[in-house]
Amino acid sequence: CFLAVTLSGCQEDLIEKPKTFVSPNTFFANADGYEQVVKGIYSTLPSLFTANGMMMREMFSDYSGSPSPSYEQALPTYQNNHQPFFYNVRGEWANEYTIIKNANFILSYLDPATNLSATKKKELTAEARFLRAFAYFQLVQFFGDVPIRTTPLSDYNQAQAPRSPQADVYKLILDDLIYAEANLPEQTTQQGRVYKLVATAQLAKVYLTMAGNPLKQTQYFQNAREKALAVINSGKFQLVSDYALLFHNTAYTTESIWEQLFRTEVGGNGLQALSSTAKGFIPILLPSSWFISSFAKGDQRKEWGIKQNYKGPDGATLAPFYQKFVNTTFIDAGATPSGVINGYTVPFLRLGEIYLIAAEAENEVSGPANAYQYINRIRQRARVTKSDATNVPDLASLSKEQFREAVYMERKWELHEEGNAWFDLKRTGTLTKIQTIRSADLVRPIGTYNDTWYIPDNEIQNNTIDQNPSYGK
Amino acid sequence: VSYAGDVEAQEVLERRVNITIEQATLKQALMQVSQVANVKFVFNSKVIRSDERVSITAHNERLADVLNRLLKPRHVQYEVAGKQIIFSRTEPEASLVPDLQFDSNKPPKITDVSVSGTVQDEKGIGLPGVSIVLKGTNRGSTTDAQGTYRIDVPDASAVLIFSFVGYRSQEVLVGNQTQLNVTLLPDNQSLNEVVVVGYGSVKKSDLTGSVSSVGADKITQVKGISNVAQALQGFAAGVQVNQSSGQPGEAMIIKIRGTNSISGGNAPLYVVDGLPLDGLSAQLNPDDIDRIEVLKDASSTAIYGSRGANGVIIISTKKGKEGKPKISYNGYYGVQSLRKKVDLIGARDFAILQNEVITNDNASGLNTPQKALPWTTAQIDSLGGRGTDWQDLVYRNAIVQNHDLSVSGGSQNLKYYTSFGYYDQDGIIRNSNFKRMSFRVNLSYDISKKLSVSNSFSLQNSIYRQAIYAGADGGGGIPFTTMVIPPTQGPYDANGNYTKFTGVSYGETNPLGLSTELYNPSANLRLIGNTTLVYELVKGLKLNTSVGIDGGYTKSDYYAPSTISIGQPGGKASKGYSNTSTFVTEDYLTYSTIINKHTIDALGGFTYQSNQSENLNSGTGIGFITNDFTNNNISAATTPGLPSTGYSDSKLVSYLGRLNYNFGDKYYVTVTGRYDGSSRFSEDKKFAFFPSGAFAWRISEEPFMKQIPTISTLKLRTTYGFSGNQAIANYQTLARLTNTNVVFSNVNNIAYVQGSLAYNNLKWETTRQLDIGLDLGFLRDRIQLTLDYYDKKTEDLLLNVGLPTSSGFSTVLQNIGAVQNRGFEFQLTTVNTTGALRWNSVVTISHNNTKVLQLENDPQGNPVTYKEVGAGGNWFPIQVGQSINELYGYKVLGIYQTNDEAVKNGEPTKRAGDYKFWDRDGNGVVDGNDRSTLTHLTPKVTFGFNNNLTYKNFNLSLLFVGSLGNDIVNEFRKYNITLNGNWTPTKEAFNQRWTGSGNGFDVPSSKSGSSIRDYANSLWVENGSYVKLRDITLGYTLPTTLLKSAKISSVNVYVSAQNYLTITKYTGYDPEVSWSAASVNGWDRGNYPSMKSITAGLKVDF
Repeated sequence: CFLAVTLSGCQEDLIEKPKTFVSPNTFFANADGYEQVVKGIYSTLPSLFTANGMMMREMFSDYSGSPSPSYEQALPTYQNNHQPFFYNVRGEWANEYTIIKNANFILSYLDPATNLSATKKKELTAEARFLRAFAYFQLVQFFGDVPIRTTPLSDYNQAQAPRSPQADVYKLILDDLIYAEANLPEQTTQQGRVYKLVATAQLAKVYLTMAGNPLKQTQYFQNAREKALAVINSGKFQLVSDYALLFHNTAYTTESIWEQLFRTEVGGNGLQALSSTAKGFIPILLPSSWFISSFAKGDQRKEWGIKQNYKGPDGATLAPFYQKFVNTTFIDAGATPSGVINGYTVPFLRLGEIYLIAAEAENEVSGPANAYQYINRIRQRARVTKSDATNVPDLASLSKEQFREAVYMERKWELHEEGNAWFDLKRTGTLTKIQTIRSADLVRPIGTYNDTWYIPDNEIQNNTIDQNPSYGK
Repeated sequence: VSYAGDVEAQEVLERRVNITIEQATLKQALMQVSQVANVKFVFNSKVIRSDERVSITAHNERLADVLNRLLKPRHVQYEVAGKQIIFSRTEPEASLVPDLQFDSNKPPKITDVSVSGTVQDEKGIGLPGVSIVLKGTNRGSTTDAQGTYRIDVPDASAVLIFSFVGYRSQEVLVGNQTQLNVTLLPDNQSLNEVVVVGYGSVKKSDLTGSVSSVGADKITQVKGISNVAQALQGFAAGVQVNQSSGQPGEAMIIKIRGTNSISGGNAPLYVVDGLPLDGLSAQLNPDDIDRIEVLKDASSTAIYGSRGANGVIIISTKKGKEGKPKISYNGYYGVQSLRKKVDLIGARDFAILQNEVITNDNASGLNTPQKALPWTTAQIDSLGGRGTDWQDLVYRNAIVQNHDLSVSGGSQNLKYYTSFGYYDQDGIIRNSNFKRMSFRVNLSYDISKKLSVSNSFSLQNSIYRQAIYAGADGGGGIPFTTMVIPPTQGPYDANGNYTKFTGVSYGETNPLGLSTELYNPSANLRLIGNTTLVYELVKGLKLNTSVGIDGGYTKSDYYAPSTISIGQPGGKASKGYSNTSTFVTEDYLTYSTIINKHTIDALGGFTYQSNQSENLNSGTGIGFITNDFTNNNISAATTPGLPSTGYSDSKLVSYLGRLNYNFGDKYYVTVTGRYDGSSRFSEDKKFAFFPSGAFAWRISEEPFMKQIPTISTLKLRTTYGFSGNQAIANYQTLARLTNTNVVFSNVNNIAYVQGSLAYNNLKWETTRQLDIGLDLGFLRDRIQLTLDYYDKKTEDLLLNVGLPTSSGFSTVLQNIGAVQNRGFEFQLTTVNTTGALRWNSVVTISHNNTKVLQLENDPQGNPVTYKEVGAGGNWFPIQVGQSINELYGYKVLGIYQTNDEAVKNGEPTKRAGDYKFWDRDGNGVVDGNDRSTLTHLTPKVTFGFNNNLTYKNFNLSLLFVGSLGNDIVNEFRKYNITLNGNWTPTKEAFNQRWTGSGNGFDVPSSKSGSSIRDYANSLWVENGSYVKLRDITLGYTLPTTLLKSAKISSVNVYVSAQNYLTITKYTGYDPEVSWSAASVNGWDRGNYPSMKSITAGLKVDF
């Protein structure tokens, strides 16, 4: 346009031609593009293990201790005084809907794609639908009725969507997961991506949840048992012999079904910073003292899982902390939070949990008789001394109710810090345990309103939907 | 009358002239004739008396005849020399002796001839206070109330200089007279001063808009500054400059007439010698600047259209003048130090505090099992009071020096100015500094009568080292850590390694280690050049064409060795290169003509600008076998980094026009318009038109005002118009797929996600502004007053409008919302005393009120009144009806005296001794709904008060700056009034801690302050008003008699002090504070403290 004085020529010159990102319209000319966008959906998953996600999944539960008061908004959340403007609800809501947006986006391009084989198209569709279902499953548990979107946004003016009844959300989750189970490949060459049995295991977890509070569709216990057993009986997975070997890995173990992997140079696993009680850290995921004392004698999940009386580099004794995602060599070196990026994997689904789902579902369907085998496999593995049966003794002679309580407790011991605590309390209708255990720390008593978290303020403001019930009312 | 012999000269005088002039001064008349006849007149101003009024009408008359009619009765003759006509007097007047041949080499003989007389003004009235100096000496006198004087002179060759403000100086040869009466003639120089505006310049008297001018003397008045914006502080009304940081070379926060934009940027446009520049910081040598004009109103800024809304700062660099070469050296050297220390407790008190924390926690049942006290009495006694004084350890005395050498001069056709500047400023934190070498060449050449070319080229090479200071709450932030790290801790541990601050997460290595070991220089080379060609097509019509480039090349080095925590494990290294380049071409026609009383100046043209930026970064390599590589061998890292590159470009195409019309130097009209197209906006929204109009009336030129001699100037100005803002990132309207990283099987995979949708409605942010101004001058402009009122409304804000996050998107940039800025500006320039002691002063006072009028509507159609934008987050939201960012949080009412009181007030988890929050809605629970606005961060008034005093050879300048009526959010206080034994509190907080009753500060406890620590609250709010003696300089000019033999024309030596006096209630380091990471004005999260300094300097002209 240099020295050109014609308007049309200049308008041409003002059209932006970016060089660091691409337009969706040209991207899929290359068939590899579809898979790269499906992979992109996974990029939000590590955010679920940051402080915001873990405050809701783990910190607000009966077994967690009081978080560091220095962590912004952690203490009011712990005290049942959380607000719709808190970063945790905003973050959790946005993360899940980002996964849904990215899945819907690629699904809309996969459907009419002509430059893909039919098999590849189905596999990628199944993978995107699995991840969409996974996100909706998180949302429906946290927030109840939520807006359903199954198509991508085409214009910012159409950004509003009403809330759908949670039954409809679960229907969508089941549709997606069943499609995924049918069409995902048997195997994946890339650890971290989903395959057929991941969908099966996820279905077990969804069915178990649907059978519990608040839907209470107890017929699904049967489905949960069926899917859990399908995973167990596939023979593809084996329990790791020692609980301590399950963690501190940077790749799958024999027990892994689906895990999040990390590399330190692109972020790493941030859970050490949320767990470590070393000087200069502000932990929010801590074991309460009653939880530490609740373990049976000789339980590796406590002996290895919870570090007590650990000495910092200056010789001072640190408060007890979960070791699952903590590398103590960082503590010994006196590293500050910026220096403790580790690459430890975090499980979404592992065989240990599937055994406990099988145990719980079996007990609900037919009572404890046939359920002991599943729970005791887990208890036996937890023994510090495998040969000593007094360590974490086998369960026997329990009533159905006693067995139910036993499984609930077993899940806490086994799965602590893996993101199940609040979901389990809600599903089993036992959130009031928080009240029982730490009433003095609560600003408001636990009530049925605790079944849902507040929908974030920015969603309420910008959408045409109502807020969940107020706390304390 | 003499005629030069050549034919062309005769041709000039034969030109035919049509002109009507009524009651103009002779000078004005001659200027009109010269326009009409297209001939250049040259005259010494002493030849033409400007108080004479003349009238003449000519129809098709010879120029020679017109000149004869005008000049003969006035004893003026003329001669033609080449293409010019030169005037001279036919007979000298006693009171109008032109420059005499005075031999200054001859020392005055000591005899006593007494001369006396009266000095009168042009009306014959005696002038009191006129200064009379014997030329070449310090000998002087002044006139008394009747205008009479008396002075002793050595001999008949003595020359007396009569000077008085508002009047033209006169030099008179004494001769044999003992009675010497003098009539001084008024000098309207201040009105004839030329003001540079966009794409041209106008006489100050013809100005229709609101423009502040700052001259070279003021720009370099304050020593030890690297940044042009900083030089404006206190000198220009309506311009708020905040020196928020003491980091040398740091960019300033500068706002002209308030804050217009919420998301779109508020920095003014800088134009240097006609070239618009982005991001001008410390890369321009202040010594090269001749003057700065700040364009504030819509009429002045509309010529810059889409970039004018935040005001325009026009910088003119020095040019050569005809004459022999002038060589100048200007240099200073100074020492800077921490302005003030914060009064913190020492080691002994800190140990006592830590014991109290454990005691209180044990008593309240917080510790199960109970903990032992960390300190024994013997240990406390052995600590001996202060312990480590971290402020003394970290802050040092630092040197600043500046040397500038320039040569300028020229012939009639070629003029040059060239300079070399060296600026080197160390920061008071170790390893922070800014060094600049700058070179400049300004040339102008008249190739022919019609064609001239000028050229400006500058090169700056700077090295910038920033101390880590922006980290709030840790991250190694040096001012923050220095404040809170315990005095019981030493800088080194038993093994000689640096200790760490572990009181907060991300505490990092102690500030001594961090400032000593981190290597992070950034070197910048900036080349700015432009060439302008002016060609006169026909009489009055000129074509201006210019091309300019602005290229910046930056290299950033980073190496954190393993000896500091941020370098662990094994050292972290990176290297980055970036460059930006801008190309500008501007082509426009100007036309000026005077037809009788009608003066017309018109301008129309076209400009084109393209910007590009690129960068390459190595990514951070981690783990090296040795620290010796620093960042020179990144491939040796055990964990390699991911390299990255970037590219971005934008273009701006504009058409512009302006018409200035004035009738009889009384009525002025300006109409301006610019049609701008920017690549950044949506496809059919790229262009926008920004018109403006102005009207001015010089009431003082009206006959009825001539009756009031006291009022020398009275001008009413009013302007109205539109200007825009396009300060957003490129490519905002495009649909995009963005690459991201996903880890599978322990391998990093490249993947893509949907980044944004296409948005087809993004357009300009527009500010419309009304300005009403008044210029007043009294007593021959000895007192000048400029008043302005403005009312600005910015609409179609470039605002990130919230979306329901369930859509997968959180915000989209749209044109929504409105902000209003209203204010007053007041500038008073006075000559307070004349005579032996001359005292001039300038007072500037500005008041601005920013108010958010409107944000988006929610989907139900209800207006959104609260919005979180950018780094201010939920602490500093945008709220309708208030200024842009205000602290929003809990009000602390005091301290709970009993546990019961806490339960009753709705904070059941708090205990006696904890802070009590206001349950604003009274619903029995303290929660997020109880927050309210806690501050007023925008000053009600900012002001500057500058004084220049001269007595004999001494000169003294004092600059005061200040702001009134603003709060500061001192976030340090969440640490240093908190008594939990992790952080060093202030003595005030420690001495007034809660010990069972009272209302000072909280009870020492490990939970202490936890509930207020990270929740915005009223304990952080402090009064931020201040008055500061920004600079005081005392100079001495060596007597010229001493210098003659050394061929030096003048030498001035001075000492000065900066920031030595500040009156404020603010308890932090400095009330001029703002956290660099956010645009919130007055948010102190631990910025680099400002310094005070003492400098000594020398200015020599050869």
